[in-house]
Amino acid sequence: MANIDTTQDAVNEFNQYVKPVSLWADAWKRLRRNKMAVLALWVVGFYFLLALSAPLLQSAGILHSYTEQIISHQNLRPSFRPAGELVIESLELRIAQLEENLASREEDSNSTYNMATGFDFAPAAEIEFDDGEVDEGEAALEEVTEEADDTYYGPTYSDSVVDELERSKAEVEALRGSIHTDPQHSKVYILGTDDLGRDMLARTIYGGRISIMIGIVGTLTAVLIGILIGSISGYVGGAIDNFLMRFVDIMYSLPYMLVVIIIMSMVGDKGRGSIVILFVAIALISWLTISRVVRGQIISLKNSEFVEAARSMGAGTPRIIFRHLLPNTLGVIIVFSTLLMPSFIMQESFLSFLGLGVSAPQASWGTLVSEGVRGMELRAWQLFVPAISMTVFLFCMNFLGDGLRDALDPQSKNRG
Amino acid sequence: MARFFIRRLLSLVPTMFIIVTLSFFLIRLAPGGPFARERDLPEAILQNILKRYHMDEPLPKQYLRYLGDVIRWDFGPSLRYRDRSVNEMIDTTLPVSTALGLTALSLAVILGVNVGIVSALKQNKWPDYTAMSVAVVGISVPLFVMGPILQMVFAIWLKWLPPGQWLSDHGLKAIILPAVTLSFPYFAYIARLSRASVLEVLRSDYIRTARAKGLKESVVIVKHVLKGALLPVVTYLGPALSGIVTGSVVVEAVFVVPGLGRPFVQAAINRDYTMIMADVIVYSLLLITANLVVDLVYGLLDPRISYK
Amino acid sequence: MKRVLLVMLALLAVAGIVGAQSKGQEIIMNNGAEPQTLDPHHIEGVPEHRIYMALFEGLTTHDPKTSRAVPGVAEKWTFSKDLKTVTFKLRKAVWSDGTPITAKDFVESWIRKLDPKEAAQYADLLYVVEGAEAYNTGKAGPEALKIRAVDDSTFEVKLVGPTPHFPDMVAHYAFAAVPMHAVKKHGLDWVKPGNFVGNGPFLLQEWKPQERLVFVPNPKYWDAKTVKLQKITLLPIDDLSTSYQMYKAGKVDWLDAVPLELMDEIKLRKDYQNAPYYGTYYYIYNVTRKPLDDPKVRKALSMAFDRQALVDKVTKGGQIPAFTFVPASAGFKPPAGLGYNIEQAKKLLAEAGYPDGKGFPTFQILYNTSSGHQRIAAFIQEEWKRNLGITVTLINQEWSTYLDTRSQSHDFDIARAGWIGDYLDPSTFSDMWIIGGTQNDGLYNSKEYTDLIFKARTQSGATRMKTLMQAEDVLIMKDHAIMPIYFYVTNNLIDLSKWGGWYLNPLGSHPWKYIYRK
Repeated sequence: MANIDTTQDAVNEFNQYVKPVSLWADAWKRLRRNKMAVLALWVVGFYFLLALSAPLLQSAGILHSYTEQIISHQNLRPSFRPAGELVIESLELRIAQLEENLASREEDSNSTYNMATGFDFAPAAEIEFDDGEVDEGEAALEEVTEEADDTYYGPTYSDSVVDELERSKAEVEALRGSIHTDPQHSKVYILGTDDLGRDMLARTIYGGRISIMIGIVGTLTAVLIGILIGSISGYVGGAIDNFLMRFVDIMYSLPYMLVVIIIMSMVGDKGRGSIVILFVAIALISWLTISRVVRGQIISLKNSEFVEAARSMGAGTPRIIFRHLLPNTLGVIIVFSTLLMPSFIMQESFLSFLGLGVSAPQASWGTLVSEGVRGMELRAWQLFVPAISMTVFLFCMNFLGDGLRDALDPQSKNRG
Repeated sequence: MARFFIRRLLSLVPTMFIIVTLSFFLIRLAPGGPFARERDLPEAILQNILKRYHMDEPLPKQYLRYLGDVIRWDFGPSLRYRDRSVNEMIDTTLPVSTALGLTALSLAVILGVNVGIVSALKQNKWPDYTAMSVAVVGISVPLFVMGPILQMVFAIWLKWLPPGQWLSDHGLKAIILPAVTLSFPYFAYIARLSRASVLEVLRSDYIRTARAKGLKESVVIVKHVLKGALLPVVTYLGPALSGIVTGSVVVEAVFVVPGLGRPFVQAAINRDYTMIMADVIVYSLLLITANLVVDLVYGLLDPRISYK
Repeated sequence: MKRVLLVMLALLAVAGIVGAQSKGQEIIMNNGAEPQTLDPHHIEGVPEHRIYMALFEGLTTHDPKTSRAVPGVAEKWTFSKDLKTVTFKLRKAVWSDGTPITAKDFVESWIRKLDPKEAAQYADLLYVVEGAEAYNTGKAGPEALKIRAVDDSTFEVKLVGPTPHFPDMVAHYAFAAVPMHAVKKHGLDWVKPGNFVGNGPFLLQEWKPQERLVFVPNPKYWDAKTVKLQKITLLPIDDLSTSYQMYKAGKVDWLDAVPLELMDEIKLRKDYQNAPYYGTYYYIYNVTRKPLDDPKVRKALSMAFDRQALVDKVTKGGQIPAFTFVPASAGFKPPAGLGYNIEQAKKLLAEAGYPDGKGFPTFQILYNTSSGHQRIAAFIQEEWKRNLGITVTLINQEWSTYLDTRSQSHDFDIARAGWIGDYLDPSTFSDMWIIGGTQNDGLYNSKEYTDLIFKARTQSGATRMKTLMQAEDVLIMKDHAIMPIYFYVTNNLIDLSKWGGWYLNPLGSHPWKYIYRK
């Protein structure tokens, strides 16, 4: 017999009475025996704790603000040293680079470097009239220019390398003077900063708050709706199955991007950046694939002996579905839902492209990663800090999912 | 079985009709239009343009006109790319996406199913952990990170493969990087799904019976386990196939592949209505056919399933 | 399975021989996008302009160094005394199929451009021609258009007002001549390889949508001896980081856009070309909304962030801080602007009734989704918070929605925008802010400004420039209706030790006929 209802069956396969154990207590016991799952549980717990306590940590001064920009601290690599020192170090490195660049120009006089030193806007050509006379009106414009104003705010142009060199030197000087007096420069960014001088650690933790929430809410809605639709469709079959599955096809086929845009335009001003709309947008299509998978599993199981048996004992449809069929497909459902989580987290970064979800300066793992990837050649940590944080979390969710699957498996009880 | 097949084929017509109708009206609701520009068009010019594309007519009339065209498989002119009809664009891009998509999907299925089975047989041992770790990386690292990294390693550092562009520039070499990138998440899904369902099947009574009968383990795996275990994978293939064949925006953008995915997203951004509609139609036709095939394959794979 | 693998490997080995890399007088350029069309009457945008410069030539064309008008099909031109009639003298030139180009071609082409049935986008640029607006809006027939073929080589245009910069304008593709005989024969398909007829230095050889465009020299071009390139390949890669990788791998010879995230590295490259661009990046104030209807508030906001730090640390591409809207050009010296002055900004804000930002309502900055716009907005947001104590939220929308919000519903407080001049004259900027102007999305409603612009349209030379400068003074110093942020720059990657005939210029327009491999 494939299905054993642990809450009621107080008899084991040798017909001995056993103390009734609840499904959950039993599962918990088994879960604790799975080392990977336990480790994963701890890590996930740590993530939750960090995400929940982030505002506390910030107000306690342990965590920097995730929005505050100190532009001179931009693009600092991860380090335990104070920011001021790092800034000076990176500026000096840059100065060396720029000087080398300028020096190599002199050596190699043949080659044309970025030497766009100021071109002037050429005056319009003189106007030639039909009778051959030439107008000086346009040509005389330059005189007007002379008399008009001494300050020239237009595009005067200078060599960008020379410019940056001078600026960097001045900055180093200024910093040397203030490094010990300005408390700002003693800040430590253990995971570095981003291109506006914001703390990567704080941004990653705050990003995690949003991404974890989206992952969980998305997965829950997907699983709930998906199970409901999939199991009804699979078990009842016939016209209802056909109708529900065609509905799923239609939902799949509608141009999702535009549907989201339309939803946003309908909710208008207030909806911009609203997290609820974001959940709605994700829930809208999240359940489609899982409902088909559940339906497939149910179809393959619904003619099994244990279902026949339950039916012959007078069990109703809901009872058969929830008590007998679903527990037997739990494995696939759990695996599938842990697979869904990363896709929701990434979907959020796509939706934020449409202007839905978190708006700057808030960030999520998805947006942090997509920003980090562009500059990865120069500033790898801006990609890897959020990317690794996210991957570790998803790793643990997956192993936790596997552990849960094993623990909840109704058949594995026998082999305990 | 035959009746089931015919019924499903018949249901294709109303489903497609609903999809076309809904999409046609839905996309017009989105703010902005195909001819909006940063520099406002004078009203008169806008009217001229609308007239040219029959968009000055009342919406129901436009809809009927469109329906008539679509039945003749005529998707009309692109509202953005003036020199080409939407049919032309689909004709040139769909084969590219199909080639890339099928390569990626075959790769994903072959690797995924094998890795899934091995993992399940070695459950909670190191091959299992390694395989599943790779799979988790596959799904949790988004394509827009995986693509540029593979590009940098294999095209820029090692110089083994071209950094981008398609067959006419680099021959078959061009397909490797985009296909591998694209197959990663699908591989991961398939590996995890097949591992889970193999585990399920391994515990079932009929496998126990087969083993008890003294069948060789390899026979048990191939003949019995595989058949049952493929079920969720096959289900997943329905949507996966239509998704992967109609193109992946990210992979196409990173590797400069002239496929269907990028034009589709471009069309959505530019509100190129005719192009969006064509994409919706191509996608849904593929999806519905794929799902029909999947349902048929169920019956073949699993003797327990019967269609009434 | 093994056999399949072997076959695959063999194919790979063969395929490995093929490789796209330019040699000799061939150039490969990333054009950045798939062209919407090749028909010059329907194009808009930089990638299409670049194609136009290869395949067509207008009455005038751009000087590669100054972007000023130089003779194209027109050998020379003269004005009437009132500057309202221009007469172009055409040279003896032919279309690529051998048909001579006459003044009649221009007459017919401009009629086509303005034909309401043709529904061309940029038609309103021709509204400076007398009768153009009436014909284009269907109020009159083509006969209303005051253009005339005096004889085969003389083309006369009557203008609405004195337009001394008209020769600069006709270099724009909106004023192109198209081969009417080919258009009539092939209809929409006339731009396809095989049917294509042009009059530019190059001919269309191949067009694989989403893959490449290939041009070869046009032997019938009047100045064919100047043309040195034997082949031009344009790629439509829109991913900046991929195109940069391909450039580094030597697969592309010229990029006109670079990934800004890698600016620190790119700036040190020998082949990095950076120059001012005739364009402005700015924020639009919605002047109908409180509290932005108060010029004091607008000025305070504009004065309270450090543009220099923005361009040095955030955009990094050598952009120039902008305090006025119209960039300076010969004869046009814009006012000094408001500068960066936190004290003054605070004072203005207090005068407007918000001392230290107290009671200032939260408002939104709208921008179209892009990491560059986002960084700029986030920087300004933080500066305002720090310097004025004002909170703003950032809102991003995808392109079409953003355009709709900005120019149709006007449902925004502050919106990001940018404009690159169509030709070298301040009017391409200043015309935007008249009442009902084509880009007046902040609904700036100043009769004084509008009157000045209309007055300038009747003037010429130095007096005209003075009026335009006055108008700019009203726009910036008096009303501060928009918030200029920086002047654009062009960022090209092309190795000038290998390529000649390529110069930096204010319109970023690089005529193909002069470019050659050294």
